Amino acid sequence: MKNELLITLRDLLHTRAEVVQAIGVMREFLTKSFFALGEQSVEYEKVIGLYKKEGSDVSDVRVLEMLPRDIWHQFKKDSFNDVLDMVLQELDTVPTLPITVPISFNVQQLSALSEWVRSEIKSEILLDVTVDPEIIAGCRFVWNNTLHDFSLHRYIRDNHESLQNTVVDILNKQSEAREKTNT
Amino acid sequence: MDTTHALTALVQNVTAVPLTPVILGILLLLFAAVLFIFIFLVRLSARFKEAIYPAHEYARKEAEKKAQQIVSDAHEQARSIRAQAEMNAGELLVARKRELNAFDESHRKELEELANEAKVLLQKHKETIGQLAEHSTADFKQHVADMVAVVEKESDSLKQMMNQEGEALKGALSEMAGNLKQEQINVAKKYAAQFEKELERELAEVQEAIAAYRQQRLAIVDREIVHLVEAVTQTVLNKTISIEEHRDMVQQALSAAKKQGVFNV
Repeated sequence: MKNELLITLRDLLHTRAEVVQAIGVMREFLTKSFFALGEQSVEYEKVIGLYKKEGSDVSDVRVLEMLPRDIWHQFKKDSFNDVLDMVLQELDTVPTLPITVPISFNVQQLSALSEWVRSEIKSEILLDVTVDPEIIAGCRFVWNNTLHDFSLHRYIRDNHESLQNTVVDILNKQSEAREKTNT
Repeated sequence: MDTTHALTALVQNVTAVPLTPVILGILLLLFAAVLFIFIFLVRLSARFKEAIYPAHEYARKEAEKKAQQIVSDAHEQARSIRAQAEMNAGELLVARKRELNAFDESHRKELEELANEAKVLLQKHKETIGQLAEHSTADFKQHVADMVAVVEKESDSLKQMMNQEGEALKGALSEMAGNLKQEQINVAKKYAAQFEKELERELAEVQEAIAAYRQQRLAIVDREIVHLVEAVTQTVLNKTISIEEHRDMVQQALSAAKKQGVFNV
């Protein structure tokens, strides 16, 4: 069950952060179902109705609605925490692409990027996205414990001498023009 | 037999009386005796004092009488001495007055004689002084005329000398002014040359400083140019590139990595 749950989450979601968030939301959902409502099995509609009534976080509700309904019948009151802990542990074994991007992408952009990565680079992979505006454009990622920098920041650094020469030439020309104007 | 009984009864009574009241009675008797002796001694002392007092008072009164007698005798002697002295003084005053009258008479005559002699002498001197005064006035006038002539002569001489000195001073001042003017011109030329030299040196230093500053600024620009380009690019790209274009650039980067064989390892 644990592998099936992890595979389901991996296939449904795109980033490691989304999977961790989903596991947290599921834990809260199951706790509410078994202990707050005192149910012996998960009554999905009843619990989701309670979520909506209480005005819970929209993203939490979206995650819950995205999950297949039959997944909930596999959980028991006295074992669901152990199962979810196990999924969190096995998440480390899932192939992950740590990638740094210049801006924060929304769900649609992450989904598109993830699909491209799964089709072009490796299927069954999760993105581990970090945002760093300093890279300006492009991305930086780790693959097989090696950092690969394909950012504009790296490009500028690699070509800083030619950039310096260009800018100094421009400044010198401006200075000469200003001196001529003054004289 | 009765006496014996009586003594026996007395002894029995005495022996029957307690000891302490007897002692208290004896002590009271002794106290009364001491008090009586004290009062007797006090009265005796008062009488003794009364017996001594009259002799002392008598001696004091005798002394006062003697003192009054001595004072009275002294007053009498003083009056006698003063009367004798007044008599002597009167006699002396009369004798002195007689002497003075005799002295005045003798001197009055002498003074009259002296006054007559003085009148004669004064008349003689008056005549002599008149003659002398006429001679002295003529001499004084002549002397004054001589003095005026000498002063006028000296004044002309002094005037001439002052004119000569003034001309000489004028010439000297004119010469000095010419020298001073030439010296000023020389100093001005000297300082102008120094100033020009200093100005050229300052100018060279300023130009060097400007060149150094420019080099320093250029060095800073060199160092900061990468950050500058990055900041400008970041700002420009964030304003001009959409989120889709950013994602495309990420995909292009990953695609380039794939072409380089990064993911084959």
